Amino acid sequence: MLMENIRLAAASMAANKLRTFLTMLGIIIGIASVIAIMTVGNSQMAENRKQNSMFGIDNVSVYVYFQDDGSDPNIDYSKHIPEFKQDVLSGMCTTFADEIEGISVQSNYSFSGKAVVSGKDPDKYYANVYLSGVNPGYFTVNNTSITLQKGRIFQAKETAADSYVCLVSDLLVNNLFDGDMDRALGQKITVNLTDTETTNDYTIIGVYSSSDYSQMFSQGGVTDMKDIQSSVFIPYLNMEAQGAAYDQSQGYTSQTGRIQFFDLRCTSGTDVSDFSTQLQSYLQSQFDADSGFVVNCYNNAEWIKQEEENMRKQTLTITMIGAIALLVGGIGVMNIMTVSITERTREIGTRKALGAKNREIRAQFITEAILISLLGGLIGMIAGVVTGVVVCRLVQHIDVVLDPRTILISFGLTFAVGVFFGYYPANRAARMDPIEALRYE
Amino acid sequence: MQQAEEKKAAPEGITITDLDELIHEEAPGQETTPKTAEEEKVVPEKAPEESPLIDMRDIVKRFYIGTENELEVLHGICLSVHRGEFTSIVGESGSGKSTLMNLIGLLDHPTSGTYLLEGEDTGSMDDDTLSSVRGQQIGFVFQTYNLIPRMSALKNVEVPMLYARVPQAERTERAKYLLELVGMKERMLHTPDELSGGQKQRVAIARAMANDPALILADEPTGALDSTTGHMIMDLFHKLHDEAHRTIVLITHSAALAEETPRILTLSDGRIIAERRGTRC
Repeated sequence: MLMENIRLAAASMAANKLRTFLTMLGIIIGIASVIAIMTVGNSQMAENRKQNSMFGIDNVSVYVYFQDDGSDPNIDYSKHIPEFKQDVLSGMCTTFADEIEGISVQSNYSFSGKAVVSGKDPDKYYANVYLSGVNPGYFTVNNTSITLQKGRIFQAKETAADSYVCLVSDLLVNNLFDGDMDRALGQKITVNLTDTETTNDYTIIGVYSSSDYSQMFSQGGVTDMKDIQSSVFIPYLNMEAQGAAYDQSQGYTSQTGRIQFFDLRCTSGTDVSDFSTQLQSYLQSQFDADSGFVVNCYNNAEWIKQEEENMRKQTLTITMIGAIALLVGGIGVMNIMTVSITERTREIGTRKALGAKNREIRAQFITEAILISLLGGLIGMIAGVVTGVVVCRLVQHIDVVLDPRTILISFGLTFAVGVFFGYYPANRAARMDPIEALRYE
Repeated sequence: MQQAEEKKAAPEGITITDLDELIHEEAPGQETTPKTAEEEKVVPEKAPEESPLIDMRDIVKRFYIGTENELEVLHGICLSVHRGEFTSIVGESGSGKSTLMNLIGLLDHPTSGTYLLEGEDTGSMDDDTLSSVRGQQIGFVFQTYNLIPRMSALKNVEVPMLYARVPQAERTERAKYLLELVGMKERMLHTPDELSGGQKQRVAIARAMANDPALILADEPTGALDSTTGHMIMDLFHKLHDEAHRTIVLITHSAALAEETPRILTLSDGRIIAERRGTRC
């Protein structure tokens, strides 16, 4: 019976092709706009998520600062240096052993310089570098922004101050080793630091991908890719030692070993926002209440959630507009079904005389309404996806994320429109008096 | 009428599928003495105790009930039709024959009275049951054919079987058989607008027999046809009656047409005023 109804509906639609198409137009436009907006919205959301995840969604960023209450006009800030002492950090790790997966510490010192390879023409083979001291946890905690391509990260024995190993970017490998990562591993690079006027050799143990540019820095006016500065990661303690030496040479009070900032990664399953709050009050309690030190814990989760919520609201709003188009389309379907049923009054009367029950007549016309809607929905879906892709690629320049739900939504919506707007005319057909219908001219 | 001249004895084993024979031949003439049918059993082979196929008692139909235009169209019709009978109901326009047809065809409900079809009281049936009974027990043949446009003759014949939930393969097979029976097999894939009036009516007759109904109810089946084609259609009805022993009720305004049928009921002003045997059967 269903197949019969579909066949009948198809025949009726084929008999009035132009009319059917014009009727579908409303549905097509409605669905196309909904799908296009969904596609663009989803792609935008994915893009945002990608950008946000550079600072991982499971990460908490912690720092402490000194808040001057202004009571002492001659305050000596060097007496109020904010830092997390080693015992505070190890206490934290014990207390939150279940929640903390890793801690990332980056040295406060960083130096710019140039890396060359001995035995190669330094005018041709050079790389601008930004030396950064990190602990092994840095790579695991920030693994969303730094992807190891070749080699390995620091091992425990390589974290000492006299450990001259490094992780370099693929850009550096391009510049110094013609892109041959395998050959680069184990090679020594000579790093001349312009700030400290020191030179040290580092053995490359790993290469990270810099494709996301988060570890690349272009200094004023650099246009050549070759001249872009990229991070070279060396062991934390090595960096601290160099920093201390630098401070000493400059006559500064050394702050070596001071940790004011660190990031940590939560174990999966931890409620990051919740943990962040707990951690904040725990660490705050490690400072004297009147010390003026303020601990801040920050995580992306809340922010991402908020941003996605906004995005969703925005998408929803525009989708509502699409829904209005769909509503208009639905009314078009209803209109054309009413016309179709009036035209086919005699047919309806005949069918009733031949044994059709009211519900069978109703089903026949609802099927026709659904089929018109679904076909419109299919065309609309294709048009919507194409529009979405064009907007993403050519206007917003972002990757397209095609959500399989769009198929479900377009079919669901059009089906609903067909049923909803087909029901009234179909019901009218079903309740026609067969005698009147048979006599209808 | 003019086919009376062409009458000849039908050979034994005539096949109804042979259209030429069907058109030109009739059952042997039974020019018996006309009888007033009041006391005559029209179908003597039926056992008298067998319940009639149609048993209408005191059927009254009023329209516009409760308004000042209230109109009683049928004033207590008593009508019984037995299986295998070929009955015509003849009446002028306004006599109430359309109303009566609608009631017999279960398209309408009487205002009062009882209507037993095959012994079942139709008054107690709900709409769905009436639809099924209509589809399976009554085969309609309309003056205006009422074939469904855009559907082939074959598909049209399948429609009643579709609503009777006959499986597709069986439907097609039977529809083909019926179209062959009415001589329309060659054109079974044509749509109604590709068929002549007579051809359409033959398809309609095939359709009326689709579910092997107890009753074929024909409403002015030749009304829209020229007389030659009309005769072909009437011949087809005679074949169905004589050879397939179909029960047929023919509703017409034409006394001449009614004369062809074995039993004639005359309807006038909402009453059956006469019942007699046809003079030409």
